[in-house]
Amino acid sequence: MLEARDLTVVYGGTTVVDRVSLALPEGPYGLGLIGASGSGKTTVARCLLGLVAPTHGTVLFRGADVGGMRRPGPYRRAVQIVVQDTEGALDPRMRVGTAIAEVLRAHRMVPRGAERGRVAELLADVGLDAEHAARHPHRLSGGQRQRAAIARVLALRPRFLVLDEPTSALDTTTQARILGLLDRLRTEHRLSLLLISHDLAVVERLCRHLVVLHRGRVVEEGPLADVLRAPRHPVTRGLRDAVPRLPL
Amino acid sequence: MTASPSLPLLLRVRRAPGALRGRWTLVLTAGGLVLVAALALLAPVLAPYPPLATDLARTLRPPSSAHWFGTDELGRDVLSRVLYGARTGPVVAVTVVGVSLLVGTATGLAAGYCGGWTDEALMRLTDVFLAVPALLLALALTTVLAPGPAGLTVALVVTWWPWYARLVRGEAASVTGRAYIEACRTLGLGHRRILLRHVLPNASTPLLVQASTDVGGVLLVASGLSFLGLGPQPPAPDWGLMVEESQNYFTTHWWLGTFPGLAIMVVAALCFLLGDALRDRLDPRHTPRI
Amino acid sequence: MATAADAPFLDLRDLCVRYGTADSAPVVRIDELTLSRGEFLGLAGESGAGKTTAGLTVLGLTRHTGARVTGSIRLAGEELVPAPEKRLRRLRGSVMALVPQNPAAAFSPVLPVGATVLRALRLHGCTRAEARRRAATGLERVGLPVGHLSRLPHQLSGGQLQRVAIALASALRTRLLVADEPTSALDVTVQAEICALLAELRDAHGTAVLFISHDLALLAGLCDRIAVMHQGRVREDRPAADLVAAPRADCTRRLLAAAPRPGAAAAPGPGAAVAPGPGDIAEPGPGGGRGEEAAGA
Repeated sequence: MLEARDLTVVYGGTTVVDRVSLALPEGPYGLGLIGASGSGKTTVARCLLGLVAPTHGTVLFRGADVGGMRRPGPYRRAVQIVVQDTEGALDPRMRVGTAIAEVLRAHRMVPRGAERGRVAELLADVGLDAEHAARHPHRLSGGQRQRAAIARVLALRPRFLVLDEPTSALDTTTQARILGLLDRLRTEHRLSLLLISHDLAVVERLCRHLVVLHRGRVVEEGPLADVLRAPRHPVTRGLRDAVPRLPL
Repeated sequence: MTASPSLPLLLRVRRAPGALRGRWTLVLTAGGLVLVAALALLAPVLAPYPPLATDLARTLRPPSSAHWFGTDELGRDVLSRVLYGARTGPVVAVTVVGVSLLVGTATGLAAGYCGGWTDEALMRLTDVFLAVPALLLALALTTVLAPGPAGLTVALVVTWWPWYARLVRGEAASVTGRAYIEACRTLGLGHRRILLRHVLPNASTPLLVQASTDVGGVLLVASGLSFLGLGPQPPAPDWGLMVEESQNYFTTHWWLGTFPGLAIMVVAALCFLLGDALRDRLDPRHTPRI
Repeated sequence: MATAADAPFLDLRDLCVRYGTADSAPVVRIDELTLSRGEFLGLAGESGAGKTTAGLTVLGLTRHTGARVTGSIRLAGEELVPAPEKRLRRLRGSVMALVPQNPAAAFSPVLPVGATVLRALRLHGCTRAEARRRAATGLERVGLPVGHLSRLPHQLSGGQLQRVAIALASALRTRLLVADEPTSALDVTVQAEICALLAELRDAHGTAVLFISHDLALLAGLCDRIAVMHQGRVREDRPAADLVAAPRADCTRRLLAAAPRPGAAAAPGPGAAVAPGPGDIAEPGPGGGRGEEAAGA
């Protein structure tokens, strides 16, 4: 279980995140965190990853406060993040295979000399060829880059995966493929996913539970179907109605 | 309906020389500098006379087949002295830039990557060094140490490294803010690994460009300081010193100052051009399309 | 040749865009594509289908990138392919305009957005007073306070900047608007607002809009007609409702499968709610690139 309790983050006098609590049970699971830009979604994600220390409140990993952890190794490995591709989560100067192997080596995930084979396995797992290992990120398409970033994260065998707008930079077809991939990986690796997006159409493909964030606060939460059928908060309604849908 | 053929043709003609020029500048300037290094190394073989050998019977001779660059007021062969001169000025310049690069990069990386308090402390330190006037320090050092290339090198390093520290710090700070560096952190990579394998390579392009340009700049400054008598001492064959010694004869015996002056100019220009060419090659926006 | 009255406002014929040599494979190859006054045409396709290249070529904006354009682009009867750059520059802004994907890059970061807007208006022959008046009306139309003109680009949100870009087009009385994925960088809620604005602009001025997007669901709700591109060619060009109801081309079906449908959320499958779609199949090669398109064509 990865849990945020009463998270509050204040940046220079502005409260970006205001008493947010949410819980990710062990996987396979999918929780959607949705809100307009500036609602504090990414800050919540960064708190869960331990990249931002909350002003108040705690992040608990399997019951232990991650703020004062003596041996943060297991937590570091278990909780990982995949960000939007335009942000460039891969070093432009490093070949994809090298970038993945470096993670394996740093955590001694495989015996020495076995890295190459494991890299190929990981790439195959996300639907890339072993041949892609020798490429630099700019020689991959947006979708392929996102797959490579996912493979790199999977190298650590994470339990919790935070997906911060993972498909916002991709076109709808590629977006659907990546979401399909994430769904398969969730089942196969028993991952617990926190999917952050402003787009309900994305969230509803992977998640059954939904948390709606507005100006740093949780304004609505519950099973996705219930929330969408009868949204209680105008923000939720706005997000629901803004999704362009095909006429049927 | 066909388009006028002139438009694409025009574009092609305009684009081609740019692409070619970049490559050729790089090859030619690098080649030129290698040649200079070779001349310096092979000076004992190539020089027709020993650089310090005086011949009072043949003073102030204009260029001739026996002395291509003429002789100076003590009858020393100017060509031989210019060749040997490639062993002081350029060596001082390369050493100064090399050491400054090392010290500055280490400082800048630490400041840019760690940020906060470390950054503040290191940058104030570089500010202190930046405030030191190179000329005064060189003067002081030459009075403490014996005047010569060593003192000159130390003085220049002391005043030169802070510029690299600033440059690297800026680059490192901006690279550190990128998503891929954060990704390395969340993936639990060690600081040293992130710094050396990710931050440094991505911050290095402007550094290389700056360094190659600076070799030329330092050569000019070093020659200037030699000219003022703060570098190698007579009778050492140093370009700056030779220019200084030629002052009294300049109007009547042009070859004394012209050849060492040209040597300084050519080497400095090669360095500047190499810097430009490197910028064109290494700039990510200029990377050839696949 | 037809008379100006019944000819389409924008008429593309045998349009070929190539990069590199004259015999390299074309990145865009459109046999026929037309757009009437006041029409809202959606140009759909996956990344790398050539839709952005096509849109920018209409505005004459691919020339600088070394593209070789052959064929014919007629705007209100005037042939644009061989037109001199000077003429195109006059047309851009006054007759046709671009709503870019990234509005932040379209405004000078050191000038107030108003300065950019006023300069554009002045360039197209407005007096200073006239320019001010039109800029104010334009901003009002897109629902922004006039005071926003004195703000710097970074002080406005992406959606607000996109509104200013549309206000400018409206102030210039543009008759053809090429919107290149104008909302893909924006939130869904802001996206809906921007699209409504474009529709309003069309209704008010009879502006023809070429709306480029990869999102068929978005286009379906917005456009009169949709043209779907794949590997540089238009594979299907039909009224929006027909195309969505009965797609003919494979690429259209793929796009449709990826688009959200009403009720998809209401019935999530066990464990996960993955809509039936293309699923988890491998990506095509390096995207967004000309190489891929050229190789495929």
